[in-house]
Amino acid sequence: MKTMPFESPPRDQQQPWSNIGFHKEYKLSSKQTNTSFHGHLELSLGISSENTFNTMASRATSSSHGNKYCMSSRWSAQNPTGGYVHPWSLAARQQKAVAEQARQNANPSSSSCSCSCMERATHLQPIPAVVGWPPVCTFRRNLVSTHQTKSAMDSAGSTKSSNTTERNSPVNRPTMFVKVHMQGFVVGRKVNLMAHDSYDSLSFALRNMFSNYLSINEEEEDAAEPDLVLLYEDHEGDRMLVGDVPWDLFIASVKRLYIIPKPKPKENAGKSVEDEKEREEKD
Amino acid sequence: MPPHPEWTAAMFPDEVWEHVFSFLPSDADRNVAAASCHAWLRIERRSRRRVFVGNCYAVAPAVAVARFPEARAVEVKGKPHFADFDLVPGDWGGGADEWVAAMAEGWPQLEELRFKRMVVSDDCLEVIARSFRNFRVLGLAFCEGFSTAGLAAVAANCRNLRVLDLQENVIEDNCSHWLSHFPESFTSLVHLNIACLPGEVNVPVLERLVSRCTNLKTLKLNHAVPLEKLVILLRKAPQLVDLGTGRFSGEHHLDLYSKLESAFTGYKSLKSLSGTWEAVPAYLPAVYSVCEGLTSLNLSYATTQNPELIKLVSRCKSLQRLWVMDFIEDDGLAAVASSCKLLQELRVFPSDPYGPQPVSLTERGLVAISAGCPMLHSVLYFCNQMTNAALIAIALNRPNLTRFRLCIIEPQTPDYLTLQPLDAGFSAIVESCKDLRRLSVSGLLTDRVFKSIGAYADRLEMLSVAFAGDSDAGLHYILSGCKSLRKLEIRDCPFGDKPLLANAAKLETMRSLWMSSCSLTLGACKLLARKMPRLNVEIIDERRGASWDSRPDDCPVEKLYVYRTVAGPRSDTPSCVWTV
Repeated sequence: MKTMPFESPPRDQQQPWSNIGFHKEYKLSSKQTNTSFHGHLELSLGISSENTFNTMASRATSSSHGNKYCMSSRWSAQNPTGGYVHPWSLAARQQKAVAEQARQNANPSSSSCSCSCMERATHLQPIPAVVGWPPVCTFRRNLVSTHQTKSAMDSAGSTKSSNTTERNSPVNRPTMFVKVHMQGFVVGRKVNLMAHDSYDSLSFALRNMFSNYLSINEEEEDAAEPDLVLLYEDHEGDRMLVGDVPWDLFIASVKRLYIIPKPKPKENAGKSVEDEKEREEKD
Repeated sequence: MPPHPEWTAAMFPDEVWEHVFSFLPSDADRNVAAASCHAWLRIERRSRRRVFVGNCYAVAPAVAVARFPEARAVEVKGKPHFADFDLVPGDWGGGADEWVAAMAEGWPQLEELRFKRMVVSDDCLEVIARSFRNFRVLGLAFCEGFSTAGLAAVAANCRNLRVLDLQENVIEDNCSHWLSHFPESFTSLVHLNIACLPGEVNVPVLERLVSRCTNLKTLKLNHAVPLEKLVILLRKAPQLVDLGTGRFSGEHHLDLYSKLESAFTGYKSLKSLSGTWEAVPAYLPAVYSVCEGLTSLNLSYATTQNPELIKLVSRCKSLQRLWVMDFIEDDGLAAVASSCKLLQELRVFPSDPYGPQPVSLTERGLVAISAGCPMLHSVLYFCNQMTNAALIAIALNRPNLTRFRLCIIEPQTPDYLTLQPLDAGFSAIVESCKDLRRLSVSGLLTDRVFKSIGAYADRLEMLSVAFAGDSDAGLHYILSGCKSLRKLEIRDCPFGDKPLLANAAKLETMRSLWMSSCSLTLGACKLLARKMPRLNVEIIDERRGASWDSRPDDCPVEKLYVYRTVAGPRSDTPSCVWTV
């Protein structure tokens, strides 16, 4: 059973799943509860990712309002890191969110919005501390994610002003189909980027999709990389090589994909220009 | 001895009574009239034109349709409110198919249909498109399950459509040219809201549609219309009253600004402005010419920040409704308080709900608004800190509040000055604001606040509680008080079985109760279901584990949804729902 750290246990029983004694007088009434709270914190620190923990830790230590009151009247457990950790705001919620993800990953159900939202949430933004809190609706959450991605891209050194992004709520959409053109073929394909969570997975899917277009033998396929390059067109219209930026940023800016043969080193500039002209004529 | 109602009814022909009933403003009044005698029941039900079903599972569709045979307008709501925040599994229910089928059968004269938080399939839209000769209004809000192919069917077949209002739905885009399905002869559109459409929009087709629908008053665009195209559309529809600008950004050039500015200057009747607005600050002054007349401004999806945001909002002297992001900050709200004296509704949304909060929007902004805007009655406010003193000031400044929703983003945050719970502040709100109909509480709260709410909030109809309370007493105060309570939604509170069972009868006077992450057990739910046969007690278990029949009574219940119904247990429960 997944842990429910901040659910108050039925008064007369110590249930195995309750880790923190949420008692109405805010007293930790038994040693058992104390140890389980410690154990629970350590557990959550162990599985938390570096970034999210730092974000949350800085938030906890910088929020001074909760500390005094809660520390004195509620929790006597110590935070291993030295700064005060309000179990509700940090470890407990994070642990629950991670447990929630683990459960969702173990029990995939593509028809369930809550599943896919949580999965996407893990990839696209810091883990929301509690499911459904703060109470902002889906559209708003998508927008926040898009803005964060955009500002991340801005700070990553884009010189152009990035206010020409052509979509404002796509990042957490259930599906995101982009066109894939293979050079030399009139008919293109479409791939759902939301069905993938990494470049490996995407490249594998594209390889399968275009396998009957490739003229390589079965034996050679494993041995050598096909002589092809995957490019994408971003929201500003530029053709870029796939793989430079983290997956989340890629998702936020990709409009189309292209597969072209790897340009030979000597005739690099000439050939790629020719390719582009050829493609533009076809499009 | 007063005359028997049946005799009174017989004194006049039915048509006279129907005319009398047409003056009854609310459904509640009509329900009371219908309950007084058989004659009035008969007359009222035959004359009711607008039907409202607050919970699609409270009554069987065929029964509702048969009861009001002359209905022309209907609104049906489905999922619980917390579905907006991903607390309800996607397959929970709320399907519209049965409703649409019953309506197509029994209400061929239907003109208006609105669904909220329901699963509407493309098949439903096809049926709607073909079944109602005189169909005029289709409103879908917070719905899902349909695509632009379904919209194409509506466009092609609803010859007299006046309103197509799509508000924050999840729509699949598989027919990008659906707008072309409006025939060339189609000119009746008055209201078109496609702001939530995810895909591209064929702008030339939209232009032609807008040109020929000369009565178009509301046009809300989606992100796919860049600024250059927006200008063209604006020139075709200078009679608009309500405009959603969509993205409001695009390729920028000098020419564009002056075109935009002159387009807006032509807008004499514009009252409402909204948009997702990734606007470049330099382009905002283009809308200044309409600000004076605006009564509604929705920038809640806009990234515009201060000082441009303050400059824009302070010009809107006639503003009644303002939705904005926390970029407005306390300074901005102070400016609003001094400029917008007619303000009635304020909503401030968080720009970054999950990350660190650098924005300086605090309780001071809300206090300033409450002091400066005498007509303010509806508030939704997301912030990081609050004090009892601020809440008390707001309560005393604005006893006319009818809706007060405060969300302090960090759960269980106390008064940051005194470190006390916010009981005193919220108690002041309910004591002072006698007409309060909707309340959401947050921050650190003990059972004391619920005692006040139960005792004073006589008109309260909807209450949302999260991460609050100490014990069962809290829930008991709410359920034993709050005379007008219709909807109660609770999450992450230490409320258990006892107050639920002790106040079981109360639940039949309410539309619904949602409790998640509280301290409920299976045994109590079984008892409740047995005691109250006219309630559906649904346990929602996303883990879809072992059957609930075989579990022990002390098994904890993570999510509970209880609602009154005359339709009995529903037949479309998915695997994650068990009706006790």
